[in-house]
Amino acid sequence: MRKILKAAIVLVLLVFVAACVSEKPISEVPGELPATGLSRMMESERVLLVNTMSNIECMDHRIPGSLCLPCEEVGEKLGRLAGDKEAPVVFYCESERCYRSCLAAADARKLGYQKVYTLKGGLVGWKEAGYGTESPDRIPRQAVFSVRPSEAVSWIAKKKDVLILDIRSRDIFNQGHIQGAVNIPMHELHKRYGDIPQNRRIVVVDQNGYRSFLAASYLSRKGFGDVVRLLGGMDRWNQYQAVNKSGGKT
Amino acid sequence: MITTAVGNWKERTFLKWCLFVFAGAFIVAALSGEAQCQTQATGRSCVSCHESYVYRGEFPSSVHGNNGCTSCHTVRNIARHASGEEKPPLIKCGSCHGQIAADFKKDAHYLHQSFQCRDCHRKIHALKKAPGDPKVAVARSCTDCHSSEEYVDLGHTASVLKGNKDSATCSDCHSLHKTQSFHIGESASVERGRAYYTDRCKTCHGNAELVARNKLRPNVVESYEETYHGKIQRAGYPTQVAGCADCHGGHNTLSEEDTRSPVHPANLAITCGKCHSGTHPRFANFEAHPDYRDFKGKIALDITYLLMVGLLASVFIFFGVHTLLWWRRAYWHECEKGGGEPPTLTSGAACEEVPYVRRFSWRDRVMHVLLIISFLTLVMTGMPLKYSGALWAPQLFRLLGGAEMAGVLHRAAAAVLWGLFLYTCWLSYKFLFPKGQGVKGWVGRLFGPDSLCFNLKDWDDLKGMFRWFFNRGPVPKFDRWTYWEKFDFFAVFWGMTAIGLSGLILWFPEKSSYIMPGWLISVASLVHSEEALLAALFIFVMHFFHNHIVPGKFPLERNIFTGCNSLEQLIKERPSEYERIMAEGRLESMRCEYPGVWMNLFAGLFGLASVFIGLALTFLILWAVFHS
Repeated sequence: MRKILKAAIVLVLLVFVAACVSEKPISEVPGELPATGLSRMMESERVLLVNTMSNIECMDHRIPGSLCLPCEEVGEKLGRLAGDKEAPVVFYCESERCYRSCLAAADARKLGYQKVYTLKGGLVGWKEAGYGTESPDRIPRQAVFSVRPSEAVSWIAKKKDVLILDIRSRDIFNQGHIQGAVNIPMHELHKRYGDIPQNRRIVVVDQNGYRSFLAASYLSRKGFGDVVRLLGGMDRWNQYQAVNKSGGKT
Repeated sequence: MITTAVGNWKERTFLKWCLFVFAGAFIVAALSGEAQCQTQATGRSCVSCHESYVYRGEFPSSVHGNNGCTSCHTVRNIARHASGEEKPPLIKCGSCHGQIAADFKKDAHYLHQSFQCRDCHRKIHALKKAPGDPKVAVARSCTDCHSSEEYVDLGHTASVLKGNKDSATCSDCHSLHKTQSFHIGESASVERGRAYYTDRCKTCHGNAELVARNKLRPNVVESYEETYHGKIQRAGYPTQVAGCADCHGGHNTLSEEDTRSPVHPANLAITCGKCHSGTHPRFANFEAHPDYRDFKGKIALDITYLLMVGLLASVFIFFGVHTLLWWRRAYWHECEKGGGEPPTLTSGAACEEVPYVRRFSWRDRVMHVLLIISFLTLVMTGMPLKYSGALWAPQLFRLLGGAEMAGVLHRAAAAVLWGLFLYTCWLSYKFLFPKGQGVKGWVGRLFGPDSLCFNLKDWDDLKGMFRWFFNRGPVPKFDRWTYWEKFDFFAVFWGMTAIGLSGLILWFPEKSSYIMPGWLISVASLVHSEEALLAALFIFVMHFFHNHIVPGKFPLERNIFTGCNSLEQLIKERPSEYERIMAEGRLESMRCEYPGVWMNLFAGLFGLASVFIGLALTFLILWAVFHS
């Protein structure tokens, strides 16, 4: 009886120790890496650091040594990279919420990458921690006029020669957009800006007003003379529409 | 000759030395001068290639004109640079503007848009100090991008552009190189934002000179801090209440006379409705900035304030004097005379051998325990709100689990107190109109010796006590209830009317707007707050003195927990009641057992803990009162 008891105790202890020692595979639970952790990791091992913003944004400002791979293209292009799938991959994007990097991380896990991380706080968190960025092709910021939704509505109503340029991802654009808006996602803008007519006022629209500024500055640099942006993006537009249901259509 | 030759030799040597020293000094001066002139010299050589008008014409007269090119742009090898092989690295404005550069690392423009200095300070080589008011320059610079009418056509910045140097430009609220961005990110960010901007508003609107100069409404900060919004905000829970911008708007802040203002009377219902749903339009009459002392606006507020101050003053003065005189008679006077034990109304006898009589029933004792718990909870959860500016208020809130949890506890305790009050009303009704007797003889019962209602004997007892205070008579022969005990009881009744009703209004402000105007909520707030102070201090000072501090009872009178008095105590404390009991032959029926060890232990621990908490709260209240 004693032997059985001892064996049972040893078994329980072994199970307990095994449970403590065994690590959850990172591929199942993508870890959030703080800026300091990333910095240490970059010093000690080879890290595939991926900026999931558009090419324009990535070239404008990124963590030194980053690969520019927009979130929308991760599934398609990450697989083509001949890389060690055991090596850590860290995705980051612009915002603190890192929605885009999380999407990219999910794609990476599907492709078989084992150590997939997202950067906690995104590029903002990196900067707040005091780390620097590099700008291989910086876009000088322009004084871009911001229009309120009410003003944009009046322009549309007066049928002014305005082009609403929606730079959100295609799938998000398809879920709802300002009537007559043209969709050129931000990650395609550097390839497709030539499709935009030069002789019209362009209103750049994004989700919340944070990406349109750089997009508008980019277009200004490319010679577009009359570029403005929608204040607060579609979030503000939708709020305005909710309050004034008689306004523009979505 | 020799002498002359020697003299000439010395002279030449001296001249040589002088020349040598001068030459050395010249070289040193030239070298140090070179260090200063290096940039200018290099500057001249730079413009030989960089020959546009910006560098040749505009730069020398710009704010950086006294610096050479190499002050900012460093080139290792000029030949390689001239041939285009070497580009100068990015300039670091922070090497001169260190503090600004450090601040800018926390700036929203940098964090979220990766701005650099030149993105705002455009035409950096032709940068000049803006003419006129710097506030105007800031507004113009910011509105290059933030060019919506929301920011500049109305409110503070519009006033700046019209020439008012007191008005706030963008940087006064948002700072210049540490611009915060609170409207993105998580709730903690929103919380910080509301606190931050409300604080910014207070900075200017709390400046009496600025307010007077601009003929603004005085005391808006103090009056905001008198309200629930302001108190909760001050206590460190800004997300749960309205900050300045929630009512007045963030940028298009306008006078309440302006129909576009969210605080214009016509728009107030919508503005309040953003947070308070299900209100009657008259809810908007709530005084968000009540000034109880200005005798302007709602005069009812000022009158209520005066009444409450009068009430507090009269109660504290009367009972303060009463307590001091009692204390003098009981301790100081006798001790000064050096004569034996201090005089008492009571006997300290308490042991198993002496006979005991019942004073309080189980029902009374349970009710008092519940009353203590609910009252202490109410004071503990309410006072950090009343004195939200006190140092201890946020700590106490934190101890209680936050302002919201304190509010829940406050309401729960209030419900218990309401239950006790209603039950007491029912007991009073049964006392006055007992079964079988109806209304017959109710006046006699109301003013009888067993009633808690004041009667003529109380007046005589009061006079008798004052005579005793001054050694001009014996202690009055009290009956079952002394006049100060009756005052305690009545204080609960009027207190519940004042605190209870006002508390209900504050508990359900939206619903109450269907039966009363919004400004009555402000009145209720004042009444609740001041009456609470009166109740707390009266109980913790006067009631504690009457029952626990006086000789013979110190440190604790336990009969409200044990339910019994010793017979000796009854005879000494309440001789009239004892005589009645004897005359009616009720003594045997009132006899009770000596309270057991556990009951005494509970009475001691619970009672002393309650007294300790009460005294601690008194200390905190007085600290807040005198500190403010």
